[in-house]
Amino acid sequence: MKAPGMSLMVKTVSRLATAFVLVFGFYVLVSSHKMPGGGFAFGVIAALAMMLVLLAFGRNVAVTFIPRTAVAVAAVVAVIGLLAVGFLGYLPAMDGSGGAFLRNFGDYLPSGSPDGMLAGGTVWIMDFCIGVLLGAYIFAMLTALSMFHSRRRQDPTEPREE
Amino acid sequence: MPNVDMLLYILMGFMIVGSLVAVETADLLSSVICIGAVGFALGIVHLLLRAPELALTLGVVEVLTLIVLIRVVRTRKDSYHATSRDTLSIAVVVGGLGVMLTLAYFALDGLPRFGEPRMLMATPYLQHAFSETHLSNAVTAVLLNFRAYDTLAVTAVLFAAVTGAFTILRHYGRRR
Repeated sequence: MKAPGMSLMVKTVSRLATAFVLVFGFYVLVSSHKMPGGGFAFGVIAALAMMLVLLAFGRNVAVTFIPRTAVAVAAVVAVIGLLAVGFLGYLPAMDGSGGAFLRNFGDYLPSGSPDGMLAGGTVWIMDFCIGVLLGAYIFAMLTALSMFHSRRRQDPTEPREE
Repeated sequence: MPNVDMLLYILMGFMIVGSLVAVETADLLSSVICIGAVGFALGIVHLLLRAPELALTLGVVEVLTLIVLIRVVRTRKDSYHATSRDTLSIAVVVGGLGVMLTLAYFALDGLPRFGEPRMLMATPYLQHAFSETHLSNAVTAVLLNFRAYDTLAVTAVLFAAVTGAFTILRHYGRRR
């Protein structure tokens, strides 16, 4: 990790590829109502794109490109969104039945076309929240790994091969 | 269908062999690569069992963990490899396992048989997936609507994992 990132070829390719990877992740996210995919897949794919930046350009560039506060804010907003969906479920339903935690209050939301993304009520909100949450969490874990493993233990019995 | 069964058996044998190699080898890097091979075989198994959702997510996760593990594994030799094994502790473990299995045999005897009644929970999910949620992907409907509690708990588990990673890694100190 001494040199800032990898060679020029890797940097160029990853600069081009990152956008495509993110776009594919977003496609997987918004098409989850009719195709395989969803929030989990989007989160992991987005984290992969961020890891591409991290590995190719080095930790410092990645941390300035994706600031730590932005990741934290994204995670917090996603958690608040999930909990808001949960607690808004307590609203009584339009047909008069009572509410419950995490009830799908889709009757209050615009539903769009019957086969579209918005048709599932709260499902797309939860999907987006989970995707953002997962991406932020995994990126946080990756930065933790790259940040804290630089200094080896000062243990003489530790094999020091590189 | 018999071809799929055959393929599944082959893949399962491959996964077992890969896991054994991953456990027994002294080279950490080859151990990591074996784990990756086992994970990708599991993804193919999911594809054969017609679960593309799982296969997609698992494949991406496998790529991620493989890169991270290869990046993290720095030493070539596993110096922590056990050389001598305590006979008594192994005997205690095996004996305890036997007692547990015996108890489990009697305890599980009263439960309904595996897979009977067939599709007990899946049938209402599949029947009501579209009429209640208007999602043509039944997996998303189950994950985020019928079993949203599960999904919420999964995010809690992830939060615990991130917190644990930060807590454990912090021990080595932060540079700069």
